[in-house]
Amino acid sequence: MRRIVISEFVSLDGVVEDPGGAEKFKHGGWSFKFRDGQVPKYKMDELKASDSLLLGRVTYEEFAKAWPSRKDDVGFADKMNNMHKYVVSTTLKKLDWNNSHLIKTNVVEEGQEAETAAGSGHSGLR
Amino acid sequence: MHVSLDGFVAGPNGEIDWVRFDDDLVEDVQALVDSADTALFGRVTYRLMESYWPTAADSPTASKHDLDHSRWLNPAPKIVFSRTLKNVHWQNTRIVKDHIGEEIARVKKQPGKNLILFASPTLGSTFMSLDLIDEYFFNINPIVLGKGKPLFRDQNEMRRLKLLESKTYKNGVVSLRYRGGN
Repeated sequence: MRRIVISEFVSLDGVVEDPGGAEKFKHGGWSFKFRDGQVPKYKMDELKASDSLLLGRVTYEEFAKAWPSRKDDVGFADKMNNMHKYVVSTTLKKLDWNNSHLIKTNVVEEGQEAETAAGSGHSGLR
Repeated sequence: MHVSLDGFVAGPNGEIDWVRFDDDLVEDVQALVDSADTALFGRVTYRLMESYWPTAADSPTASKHDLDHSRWLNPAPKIVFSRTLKNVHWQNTRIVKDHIGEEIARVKKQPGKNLILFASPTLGSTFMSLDLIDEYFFNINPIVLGKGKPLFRDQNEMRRLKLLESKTYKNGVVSLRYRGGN
């Protein structure tokens, strides 16, 4: 059985909003102020251990805008663009990002199906 | 300060039964306490402590921690910050009603060891807002409480901290020590 793993940037007081700076939050982009050599390797290892991405609407929209045009030497962007994406939303109509699947209802059943589907490692939620 | 992963220091009714505090943690906390010679409290925590520590060492079931901490805490100077508290019944305790910043500045100038603020989340938030904290020590417990008394109350400003030390305990607690400032 595959595992669901939740991965978040979080401040000491529990704020997860806009770590990357694209959401216009007053303090947006705060997670990048603490980047060092270890963070990209950690994120790469985490991504390698996963083969599906689970996203909510807000993060999906941000990612779908940012990732398709990205390229890098270690293959991070390629994997992000090619892996399965499951997006949970009742309002999104159509997903343009490569290999994205919309989950509108029955989140629990669909999630269980994704968990038992053939695949390596676990699924990462953001 | 013992904190849940979601940033609460107590449940909605003050519950702290979820706090994991076993021998190797006790040892490190004791070292922290030994670096101080004065205890600071808010009213609520003070009341709880006053009802327990003066006689804690007398109980036949007192633990080693009870004995060690009693020996330190009972004779130590204690300052309670409260506008409403009228009387205190614990040795070497005084009440400070207002002008917290001035009072702390005055006490810090006196010779002696560190001043340690125990639990007291409301007072802790006030101290944070007034920029009075030089060092933070949090024990993050592996639990999500969902609701309760928050560690960071009414903090509207972004505040940068410097991580001094982190340690992972076998019981799942992660302790984080930060330098304060902004």
